[in-house]
Amino acid sequence: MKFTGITRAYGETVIYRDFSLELADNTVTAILGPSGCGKTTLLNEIASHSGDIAISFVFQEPRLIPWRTLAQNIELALTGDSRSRRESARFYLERVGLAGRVDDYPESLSGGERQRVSIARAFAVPSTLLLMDEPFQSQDPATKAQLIDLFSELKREARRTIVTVTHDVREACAIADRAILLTGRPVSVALDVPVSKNLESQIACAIGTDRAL
Amino acid sequence: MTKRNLLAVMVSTVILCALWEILSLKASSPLILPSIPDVMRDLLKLGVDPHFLRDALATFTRGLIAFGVSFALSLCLGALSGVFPLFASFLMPWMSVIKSTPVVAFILIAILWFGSGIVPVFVAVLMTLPVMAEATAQGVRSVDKKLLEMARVYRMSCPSILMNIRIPSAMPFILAGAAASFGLTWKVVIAGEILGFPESGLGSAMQTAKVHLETPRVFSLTIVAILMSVLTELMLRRLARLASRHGRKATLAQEGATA
Repeated sequence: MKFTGITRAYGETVIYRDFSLELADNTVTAILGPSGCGKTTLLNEIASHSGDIAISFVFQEPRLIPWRTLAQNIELALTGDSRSRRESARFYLERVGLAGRVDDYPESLSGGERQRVSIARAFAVPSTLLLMDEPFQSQDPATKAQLIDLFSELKREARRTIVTVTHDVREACAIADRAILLTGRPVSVALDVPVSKNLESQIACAIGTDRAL
Repeated sequence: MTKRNLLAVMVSTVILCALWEILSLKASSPLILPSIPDVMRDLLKLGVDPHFLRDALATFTRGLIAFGVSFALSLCLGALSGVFPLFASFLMPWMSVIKSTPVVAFILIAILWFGSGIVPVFVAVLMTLPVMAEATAQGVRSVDKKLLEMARVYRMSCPSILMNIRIPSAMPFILAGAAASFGLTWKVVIAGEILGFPESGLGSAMQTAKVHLETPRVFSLTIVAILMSVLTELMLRRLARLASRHGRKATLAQEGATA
């Protein structure tokens, strides 16, 4: 999967100039970088460059429709006949541990549970590309660990090309195969490596050389 | 309502009635201020008066028609100005003129243009239009942009977005606006009837009673008008609360529409 010619400017500031990104199928790529460096912009650009590729998205917040039940929230994102949509919604809600709550409304859930629904929705949609924008960011550490475990399980079962944005190196190590570090204006790739134990030192090194320049 | 608040309402009502009684005793003539029993007796007489039923029905029909027309119009205008800020700006001077013109001025002008039966309906539509259109626009604008972005990413269809996101999120605002303008409708319709004097209508009956110096009748007709207004507004408010059970910002909308 290849995205080329990504160009984006806000007013005078050019954030991306002819940026390109190639993604190997069925891998998880973590986009790292300081906040405000353009990570979310890159996700949105990928989404708008995706053309016919079916995408699903896990946002920073769950973004559930408050006046629809959990099952309906997932069904609305699906296509096909109502029975198969209903079954798929139930199946994925069960997978994220919310089997008994399909007919509940989002307001009765905790923040972590809502994000589970959001993850269930992203996997229920038969997408090729899954984009995630700091999906575990606003959770407490325990919930975050649970969500990461859940995500890794679902990821193993479903074959998806996944791009996740984060500024947490440990999170990237836990879920990603490849890490890309973004810096500068217009944005350039400071580091593009397969994820390994010494990712942290690689990043420190990359930022160090970047500063030296 | 808490027990203490209920008590306050009850005490206040008792004081109101007592004050009314005392003043009517002081006035010592039902022509100036009829006593509560006088008015109650007249209310009972109204119940069996065939003219009253015709009058009440005429006013009720006018109110319903006015409300229906105004509701349909404000949905269109409100939705348009909610979605297109340019249209909202275009509409603003019109709405400001309507809002700041005294009701009676509209009634007097309308009498020159229309038949006396249409005047109350026309003026009621005019007066409620800004209230409901603004509530609708506010409702349309209040939609969560992040939900719309989610819907776009998941390629939800336009009708689905309308049915599942846009309409439910605007509904509490629309219903609160409707409740506020339903109350206003009765007041304006009756004022229009008093001045326009159509063949039947509560306002016409009030005017007749006033001319014949039947003050208790003016009071009992007023009570009927109050009941009509309170009951319909309560009904709509209940509906609004039901619709907003899962929508937030509903209380905010109600306050906004009433203010």
